[in-house]
Amino acid sequence: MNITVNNKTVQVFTGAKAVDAIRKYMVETQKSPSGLDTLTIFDKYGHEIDGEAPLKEGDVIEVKSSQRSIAETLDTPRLNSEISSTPTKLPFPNSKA
Amino acid sequence: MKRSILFLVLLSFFLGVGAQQREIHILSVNDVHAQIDNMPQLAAIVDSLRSIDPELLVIAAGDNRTGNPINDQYEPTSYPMTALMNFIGFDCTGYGNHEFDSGVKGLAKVIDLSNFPHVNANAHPDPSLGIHQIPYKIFNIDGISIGILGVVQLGTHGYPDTHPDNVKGVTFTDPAETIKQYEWLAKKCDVNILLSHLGYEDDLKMAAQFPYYDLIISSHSHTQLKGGELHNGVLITQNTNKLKRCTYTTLTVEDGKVVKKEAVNIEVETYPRKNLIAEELVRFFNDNEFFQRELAMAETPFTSPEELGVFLCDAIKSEANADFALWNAGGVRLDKLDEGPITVNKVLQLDPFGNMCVEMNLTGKELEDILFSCYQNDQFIFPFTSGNLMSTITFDPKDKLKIQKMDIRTSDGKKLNAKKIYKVVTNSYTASITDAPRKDQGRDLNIGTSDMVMKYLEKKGSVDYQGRKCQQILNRE
Repeated sequence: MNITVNNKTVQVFTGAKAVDAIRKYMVETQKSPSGLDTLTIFDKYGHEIDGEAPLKEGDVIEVKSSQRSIAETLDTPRLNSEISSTPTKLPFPNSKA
Repeated sequence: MKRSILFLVLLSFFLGVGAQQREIHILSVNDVHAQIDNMPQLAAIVDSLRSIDPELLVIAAGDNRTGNPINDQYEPTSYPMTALMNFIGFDCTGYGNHEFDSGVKGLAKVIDLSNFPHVNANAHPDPSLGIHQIPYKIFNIDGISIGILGVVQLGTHGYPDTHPDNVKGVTFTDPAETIKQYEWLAKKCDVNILLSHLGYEDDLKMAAQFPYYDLIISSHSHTQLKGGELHNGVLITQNTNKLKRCTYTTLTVEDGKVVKKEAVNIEVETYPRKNLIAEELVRFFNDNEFFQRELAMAETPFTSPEELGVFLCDAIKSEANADFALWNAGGVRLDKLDEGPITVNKVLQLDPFGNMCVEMNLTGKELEDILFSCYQNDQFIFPFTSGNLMSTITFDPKDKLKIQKMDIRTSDGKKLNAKKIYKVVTNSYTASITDAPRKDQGRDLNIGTSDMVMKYLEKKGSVDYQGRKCQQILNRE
């Protein structure tokens, strides 16, 4: 099903919860999917919802950061310091490229 | 002077507004999901409010269970929550979709153990199931009748979001159509409350369609409202989940009509007082030995995360009757497991995240892509698979993260058919971190992976995974 997170549509499995859609959003926007429990999630009406909130096709949610540490979580690149020199997206193996 | 004040107070009591108005007080919770640790605070809040109004109605809007193994795995299932709700003196509860998670037999038992009614009008269990629910409940407080009608959400398949096996023998009717059929109840009662497990968005529609409800006690969507919201004259209340807060609603009734309605939230989690008896009950349940319940015997020790990963994958593959399973390496939380009894506690240590099982129909090519996508998005560790797959991963000797070659074969040595559709299961974390393109995003099977592992173990009786492998890693330490 299609869920819009921060104006970006992501595809998630049927029955996904808010946290699943946000993980997908983080991965697709190349941000770290860790530390989600520090984020604040809102529905399209502006009400706060929980990460375990069930979603249905077409739902719109927004992730906001209200503290510096949360802002850092949202802005954290996927790679940690040990592997930060590696490109975020590696080429699929077995390809000639 | 004192006499004149007393006279004025008494005069206003007998002649004034106060004489004809009666406040109805309701304390409601929703989507508690078995957060029993907050029940002593809730009990203390109820104690305080009942000292002011002994007729306080305490109501739950469903999803009382599912989310805490101490409650959900208890025998009988959900007894800790039920016992605590009995102790607090709940007046009624609605059904949430998760009330069905222990199947119809589990639900019937929970209802029989409850000192309060389960109110639902759009679930219709076969009488042979012995599910003693009621469609509505009328309370009478000082001559004021308060009608409560319960409805539960239906998913795309026409039943609440739970595993289909859990609702065998139960038929469901559309919530709005059901509510229409009970218009007579609204006419009969002075105060009308819809106990809804439809979610906030659908409750807005219900408020628009059925303005004769005074209050909708909303749930399911885990929406945090700031007290109550008035929509089309209907007050809607809801708090997120896990008993962080509850809602205290006051309905002022005059001449058989609600003339004023307001609601405020009360912080439960951080409430400074606890009911000591409830606290003891919670301690008793938390200390219960059910965690030590033996599910099966490990004939040999598990000596590596890989052996444990293959075991987890085999378990969900078997329980879901799938072709293959995969599991992110970071989701295997033990490095080893001793031989001997495998307990509930061990399974929950091994798979502690409360992930759900997700089923996908994938081509061989899509499965390979997902394995690689999982590797990329799970700390660059290749995922584990069920024992009927063997992945040979060759890394670039010059780059410890770059996979040069992936060779995925089935247990009979054949390569995956790139175009053939396979039924693949995984946990919800893996499903949501894998962004490789696929036609089928999959579906939640409405059963937790740890529950599946426990069921698998109980069926098997014994397991032996020593030396079992699903991957061969070349050119990487």
